[in-house]
Amino acid sequence: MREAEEREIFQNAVDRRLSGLQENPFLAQRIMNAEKGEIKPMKKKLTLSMVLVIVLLLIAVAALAVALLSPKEIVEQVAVPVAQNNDQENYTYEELADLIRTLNENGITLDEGSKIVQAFQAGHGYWEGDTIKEICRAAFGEDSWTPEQSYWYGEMMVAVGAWEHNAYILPKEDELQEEQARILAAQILNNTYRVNLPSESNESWTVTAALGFLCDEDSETGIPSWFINFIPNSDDDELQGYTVTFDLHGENAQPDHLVVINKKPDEATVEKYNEIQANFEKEKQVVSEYGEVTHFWPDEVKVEVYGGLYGLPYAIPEPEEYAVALEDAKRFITEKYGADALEKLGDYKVGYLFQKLDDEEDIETKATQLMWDIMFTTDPEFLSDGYRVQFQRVIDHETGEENIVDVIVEHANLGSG
Amino acid sequence: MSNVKGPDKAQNPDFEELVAQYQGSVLRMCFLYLCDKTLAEDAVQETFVKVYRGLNSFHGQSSIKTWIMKIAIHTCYDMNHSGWFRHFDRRITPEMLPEAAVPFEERDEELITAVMRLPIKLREVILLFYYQGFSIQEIMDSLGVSQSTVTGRLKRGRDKLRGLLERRDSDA
Repeated sequence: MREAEEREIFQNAVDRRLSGLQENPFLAQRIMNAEKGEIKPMKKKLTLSMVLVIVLLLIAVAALAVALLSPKEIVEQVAVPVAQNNDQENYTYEELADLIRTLNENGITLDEGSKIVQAFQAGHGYWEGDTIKEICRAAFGEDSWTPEQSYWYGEMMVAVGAWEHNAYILPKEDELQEEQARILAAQILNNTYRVNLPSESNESWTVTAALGFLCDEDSETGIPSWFINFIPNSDDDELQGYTVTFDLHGENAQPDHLVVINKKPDEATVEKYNEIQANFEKEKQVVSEYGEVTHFWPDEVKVEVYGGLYGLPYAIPEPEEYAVALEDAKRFITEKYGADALEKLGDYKVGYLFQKLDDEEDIETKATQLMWDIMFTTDPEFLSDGYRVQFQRVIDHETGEENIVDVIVEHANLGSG
Repeated sequence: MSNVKGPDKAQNPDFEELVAQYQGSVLRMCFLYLCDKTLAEDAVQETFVKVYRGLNSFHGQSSIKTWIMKIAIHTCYDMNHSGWFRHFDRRITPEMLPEAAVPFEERDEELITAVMRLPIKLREVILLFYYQGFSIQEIMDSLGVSQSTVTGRLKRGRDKLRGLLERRDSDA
């Protein structure tokens, strides 16, 4: 009944508002004549948009002779300045449209399936950090960026305020460069394990080098280090891989055997893999039905997928539990983003994930833990706005005392940064 | 519509009837899909050329309307994926809608622009379900997707149009 009414409303609205679209009274006759060869087939008309596109393409082709902007130049000269000049963390729809147009004019096409293009087509803006990441993917590939590309990307993320610090590093002139690091790594491992590893990849070995921060309890950010891996190019399980880490001056080397993925898995591994694969397929099915943002799935589906398939303690909250958590989450948002943050968001929707741990045998604290992950957004499909609040309410079994711990309040966009 | 005649006949009165009966509906659906009046007119023309050429092979497996709309939606899909279309500025504003020939309400326009702003995969399901009155099964057959995909997209599309599909006094 409701569907019939909705259909009627929809059809009436379309037929009224689009009543000005002119039908062609001669269409049938023209098609029949054209098909019989009595008249030439109709040519497609050029719209004003098409004419503009042709002009733009001609201009673009002419400009090509001068110079096309590279993706790096577009990020540096367009994307970053626009981001720095607005006082928000996402591009508006208009800014995103200009950016995508600039990319197209310079021969760079973003993946049609990307969330940014989908958000744009749906009339939304998008987060600056993710937009820049998408441009970099279009330019450098999905992964395996060079250290220079990664470092430059990190600098851009810092420039637009998406990151506080560059997560990537490059060696300074007086520090070990990649080639030197490979040679030193082979020397260290050959001496340690009495083997004969090459410094460059060959038929027998694949040598990879990466820069990163080595975790260290005494250092807040970690120690800038080279990570060099030597992976055997063989299916022989007996062959051993090696790895070594040292700082950018070649000090504090930590050689080790490399855990290589078993190329001939045993039966138990295959069984486990198949189980994971089946769970993955089930989850894919649910995603196609309810969307990618799990917070907005029906409660029963969340419990079935994450509780049933993965054994996580997902639960359906009591109404009172939810009401209290909702107020807590709103309070955290206003504390961080201002009293009118949610009001400014407008007509938002709330989705959540809820886990409950109260089995005394499973937890050390002898307490009930209510784990909340609550999303506030007007755009549950693309998360182009809004906030996400995660926290735990811990209720002590002996004293009854309640504490909120591990509070994280951030923008709703899960992939940002 | 068992008496539909195809292009092998000397006269094709029924083809003319089909065009007269469905042209308006196809045109409006193509406009909502492609968000461009001239492209929509091209899509209508291409749709009916395909209909004319395919009439002999139509054996009534579905209703003639379902068959025509399926051709139309596939034609729009192809145009949407053509090189030309990618260059269009597809920002949707009420100003880009053609002038209406009959009185309309503000909320009609809100609904139209909201539909045109939907991601294409949601939009095509919404158009087939609400505008063409297709069943879930017919949409599955037309788009070649599973039931859960159709119902999922329908739900998400409906959520996005929430409030705009409610009955108003003037609809009664």
